[in-house]
Amino acid sequence: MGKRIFSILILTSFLLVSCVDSHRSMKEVVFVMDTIVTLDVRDHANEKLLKKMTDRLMEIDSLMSFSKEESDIYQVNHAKGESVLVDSSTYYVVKKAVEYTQMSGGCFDPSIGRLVALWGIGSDDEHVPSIKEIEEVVETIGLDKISLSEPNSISLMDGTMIDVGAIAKGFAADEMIRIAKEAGVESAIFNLGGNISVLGSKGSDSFRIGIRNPFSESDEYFGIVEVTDTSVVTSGNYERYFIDESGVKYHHILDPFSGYPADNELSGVTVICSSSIKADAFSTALYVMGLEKGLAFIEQMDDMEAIFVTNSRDVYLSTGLQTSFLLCDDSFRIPE
Amino acid sequence: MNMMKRGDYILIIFLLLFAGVLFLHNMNNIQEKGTMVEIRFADEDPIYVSIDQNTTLDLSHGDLVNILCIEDEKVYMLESNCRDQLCVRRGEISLEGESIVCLPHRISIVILGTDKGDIDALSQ
Ligand SMILES: [Zn+2]
Repeated sequence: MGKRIFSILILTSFLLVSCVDSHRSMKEVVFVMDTIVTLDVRDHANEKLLKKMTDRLMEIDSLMSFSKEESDIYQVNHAKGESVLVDSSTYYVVKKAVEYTQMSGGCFDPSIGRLVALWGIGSDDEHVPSIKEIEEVVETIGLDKISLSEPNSISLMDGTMIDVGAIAKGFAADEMIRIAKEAGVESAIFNLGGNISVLGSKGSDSFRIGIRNPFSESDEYFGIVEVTDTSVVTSGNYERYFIDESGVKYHHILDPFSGYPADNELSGVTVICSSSIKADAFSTALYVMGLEKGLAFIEQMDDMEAIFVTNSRDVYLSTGLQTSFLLCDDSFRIPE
Repeated sequence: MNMMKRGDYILIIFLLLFAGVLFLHNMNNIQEKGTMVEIRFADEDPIYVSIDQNTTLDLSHGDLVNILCIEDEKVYMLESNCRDQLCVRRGEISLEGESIVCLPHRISIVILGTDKGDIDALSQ
């Protein structure tokens, strides 16, 4: 009898130990990929797991940075037309970028690297280029300038540069979800500079993600989406911009066709998709498409939902969002 | 139960204590702090300052100047020589979950508390 109680007790204490461990939550903040990243692992967390995640973020940054000389992307951009052997992760991201360029009819296009560098928005050298400069650089954009060959070789037409900065963030978010899942994590939320990915739910509740008010200087939101197991990515004209001497505002979402910041009725576009890399590419693509084409496009996609905000504070939702979006600022309206 | 020996009781007490210690240890990990301001510089460990003490903090590192003020339970960046000045333009924060970030200088300031507010994250 004594022995039986003994073993029951041993068993109970082991269960307690493992139960305690699986409930452990941890939060980590890192500055990486030119942004601030918050990793919030809500169960099964430990130092080793968080270290693995931050190491992976650093690795993706050093592979896909546009400006770091040792990165794969830098090497490809400066190869003068030669083929460059890259890491399989870089190859995957560029291949996905090409796929999204095709799907979006060129509204998202990674080959705008030289255009991004020319405008320099968000850098010390931001300025309005001359029409001639823009025309020349627009010539270097296009899918026909990129060739991929399996396994892992990329070459660009001499003069073309690719920039995968935005979607590398989405890829990194997908990687965080993968690593967390592999470690048995059931609930987590990752914030990569405003690009949100969630794993599972918060117990019986969904995660509540605020959508940034594009007209506010601070972190205000005009609405909330309730989500589980997905990614929420927003592109807006408020993120990075500069204002020239005559008071004209130039934001960072460049139209690959005109070579100028996309100029339409939109202030912001949010995409909700279980793949964050895809959400990232299409938040840009839909912004460039504009409201009418963007709405028509998103309705044909069954794995993506979107929220469009116009300059006149009208909010348009794709059909799948009608029940999970809450408008919480009455200066915005959802037109009938 | 009469058959239980003295050793069994000692063992039970020991294991209960052991479980209790583990439980408390875990509670500590998930317990929310009071209303504190968390200040981080790059990848260094954060420092915590109570929001109800009025103070000016010099967060400058080398040439990178950042002066943070905590005043009447409000927090704001008084001064920075960063390129974008977003941290200074951010103005006052006072609610749990609100943050000031100086990306060029890799500084983040977050107000912690018992309630994170209405949302879990902001998509922007
Ligand atoms: Zn700053």
